[in-house]
Amino acid sequence: MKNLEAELKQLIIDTLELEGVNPKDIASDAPLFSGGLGLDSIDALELGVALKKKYHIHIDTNSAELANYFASIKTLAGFVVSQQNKSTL
Amino acid sequence: MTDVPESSRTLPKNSGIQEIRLGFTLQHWCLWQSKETPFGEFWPGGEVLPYNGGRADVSFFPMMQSRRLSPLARAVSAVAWHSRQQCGDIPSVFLSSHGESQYYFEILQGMAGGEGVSPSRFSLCVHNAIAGLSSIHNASYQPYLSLAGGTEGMFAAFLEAGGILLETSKVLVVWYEQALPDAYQAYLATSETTFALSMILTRGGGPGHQLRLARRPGKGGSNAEDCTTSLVQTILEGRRSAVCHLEQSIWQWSLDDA
Repeated sequence: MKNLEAELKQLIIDTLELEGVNPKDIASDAPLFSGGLGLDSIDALELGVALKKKYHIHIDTNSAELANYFASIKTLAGFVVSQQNKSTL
Repeated sequence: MTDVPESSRTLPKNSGIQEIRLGFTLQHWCLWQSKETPFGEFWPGGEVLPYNGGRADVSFFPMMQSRRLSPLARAVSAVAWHSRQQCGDIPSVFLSSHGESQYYFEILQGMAGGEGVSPSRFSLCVHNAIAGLSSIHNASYQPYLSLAGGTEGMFAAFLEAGGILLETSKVLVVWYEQALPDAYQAYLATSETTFALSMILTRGGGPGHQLRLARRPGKGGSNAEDCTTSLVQTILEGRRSAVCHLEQSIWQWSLDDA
């Protein structure tokens, strides 16, 4: 899971073009939106596209839990793993 | 666009031909282009921003505001910001024939290949996106227009500026272009460089250099994009007058000392 968290930090930096931000600057349990990194709704959509492309996962945009999945690196990593497990069942 | 001699700057009177004349005072201009600009006898009252390794410097914006800017949007944001430092918050007109062509062609290619569309790239392809970003960068509360120019090419911005100046004292005009994607180049004239040019215009007759334009109907040969590219060249070479033949009109202009 730690490797996946590191990978997600780099994915966020690359995808959202966060110049000057290093993976170590992003705490795994810090909020990604609403403060924290200061990401906005376009970033959330952009990140969703990048996650689908990299991990071939399904993201249900109608899910009431979506905001919780994208709350932090830690919750996002948990979401990616759960979706990958679903697709391998 | 070609040089015209000083003596023929005024269009001949020709009854039956509708002529439009526009006069502005040029208060400031600013240019960035994606190639080194050798020092020369530029037009007075303006500046060429540093090449900066091919990426216009926008370090004066917070990172979260500049991170999504394309090379073209960086160029526009840089010249508009520098001009606004001279004039404060004023209405603005932005003109580009093809805008973010590199982005939207990339999106079309991705869609053809069954890939998802990048939401931020998509939102930045909208023709008024760059003007909107510039407005945000400068915390502007003034109106802005975003034009593609149509058959009047870059001169459409002067027409709009003339109209805006009937109601206000200053207007910022920004022209910008970049090379079209390869797939289009066999069909359309295209700029070889990425550039953005801004001007602060006030009503004619004020203190400063006088930019005079005249339009008359006519058939010509030049492509609308060629005229914008030639304007940049004219500024950098310090030439003070030119004529541009467009599809349905002939535009003649000059820059005179006050």
